[in-house]
Amino acid sequence: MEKQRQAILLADAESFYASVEITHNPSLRGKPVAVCGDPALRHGLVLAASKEAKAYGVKTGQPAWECRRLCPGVIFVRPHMNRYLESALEMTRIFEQFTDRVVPYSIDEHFLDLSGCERLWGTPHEAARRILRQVWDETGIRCRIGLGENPLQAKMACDRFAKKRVDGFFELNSTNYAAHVWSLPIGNLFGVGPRMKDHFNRMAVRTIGDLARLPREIPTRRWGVNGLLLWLNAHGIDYSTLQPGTLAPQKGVGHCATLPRDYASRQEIEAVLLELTEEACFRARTLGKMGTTVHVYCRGADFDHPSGFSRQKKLPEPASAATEVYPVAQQLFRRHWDGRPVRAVGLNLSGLTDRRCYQLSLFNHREITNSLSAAMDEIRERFGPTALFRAASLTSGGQLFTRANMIGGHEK
Amino acid sequence: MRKKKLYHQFACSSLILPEHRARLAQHHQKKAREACRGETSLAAADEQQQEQFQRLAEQSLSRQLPLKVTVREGGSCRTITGVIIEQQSLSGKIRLQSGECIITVAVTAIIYLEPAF
Repeated sequence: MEKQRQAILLADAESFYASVEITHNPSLRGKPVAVCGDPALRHGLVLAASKEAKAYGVKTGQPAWECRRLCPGVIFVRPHMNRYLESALEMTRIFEQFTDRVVPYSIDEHFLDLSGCERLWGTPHEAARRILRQVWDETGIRCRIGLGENPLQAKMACDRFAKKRVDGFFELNSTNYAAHVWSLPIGNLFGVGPRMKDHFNRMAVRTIGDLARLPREIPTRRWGVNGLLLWLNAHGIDYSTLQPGTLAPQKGVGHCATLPRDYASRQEIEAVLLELTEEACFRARTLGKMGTTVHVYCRGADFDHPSGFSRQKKLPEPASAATEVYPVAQQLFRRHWDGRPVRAVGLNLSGLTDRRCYQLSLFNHREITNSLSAAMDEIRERFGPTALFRAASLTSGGQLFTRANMIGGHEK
Repeated sequence: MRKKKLYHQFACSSLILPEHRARLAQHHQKKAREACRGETSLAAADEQQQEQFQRLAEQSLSRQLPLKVTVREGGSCRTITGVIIEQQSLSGKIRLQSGECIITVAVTAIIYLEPAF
């Protein structure tokens, strides 16, 4: 009996943020639109551009001024993260009407496993067309779909081919993978970033086919499991499994803040560090976790002379209260900061363990700290993150009130 | 341990905002609650899903794969994490080793099965 082929789809929304803005303001349809943060707050990068703006050469990640230079008639729209999250969830609900095996991969990408659904929706190609039509009808957002026998093939089909096609659909399978993919530059392979591309180029590996033709021992010996993974990707082989309804367990919680101006004073930077510690600890407690390692990151303001540091330290014992985490973060900062102005600060709490199990200590008042944290969490959940805050947030460096209106670093 | 990347490369590279993650979790909880209210059970799952559940149950029994088993209890749901140690075909029950405890569950009360990571 022939083994049934898997039918994995990757659905990707076209210029997602820009498309959502257009559905909320239909007068923007057909015009060059760029979703862009506030340049005054150093968030003046293009987050998404409509296809009309892209036709002028506007790309995601470009500064607003460059976007304006390329496309003088561009219409800038501020981001609305809540809208995007709502639309993403709406798309998830639509996909779940076709299969219960839906796995969100990012805010605008979903994997769908349609294996064995032929009797319900016809061939995967027919199902994909239906999905594209339904998403368009119900949300006004255009999707592109890549079909493959595994998630990798679906991702490659979508990113490298479906996005360039008028019908927004492309299929890769083990029979046609080499014919379509091997001629592409190595940088187009999933998992190969700019630095890896340089490494491969130095090995005279310029196309995906060049990598596929190498003996697998060469990348494996050089980069271990990562090298093997890329070699398998070059062959279209992927052992990933999609687990619907479950999100990969979080390994850490953290936050990073790009500052509205360069901070040069220790007090100002430490005020932000304290706020980030509070946020990370709050999230850890919400997950019922404590962190065992704190990681502090600082990026210098001078692009020509890159400075900053990224250092971590193990906590004396797992903690989820800012009063316990912050002294370690502060110590890391004071030890490694070179005194030069800072543009971005980040803090991460990793090595998460269950919050209910902890070592009792004779000298610290864990029960009192926990009760205090629980009371603070309750107040913030009920009245918002600015209902209860540290006095440091009222100083010139404090960013709490700005950050309270943001999701993922962009306006709510 | 790093070999895990071979089997979960997309889980490793997935980029989901905490706020998006929270809303997805709410969405899944809502779906689970609706399933409970609708008295959904394993029998209501489609043929393909039943096959998937069966495969997971067999893997748990033969290879000690830990599972998250969602069981209907009265009007609410309960999730048990454990390994299936025995299948009682005559009584239509399974026995799960959950930590130190052994829990017996009627197969008809099972709503959902998934691997526990």
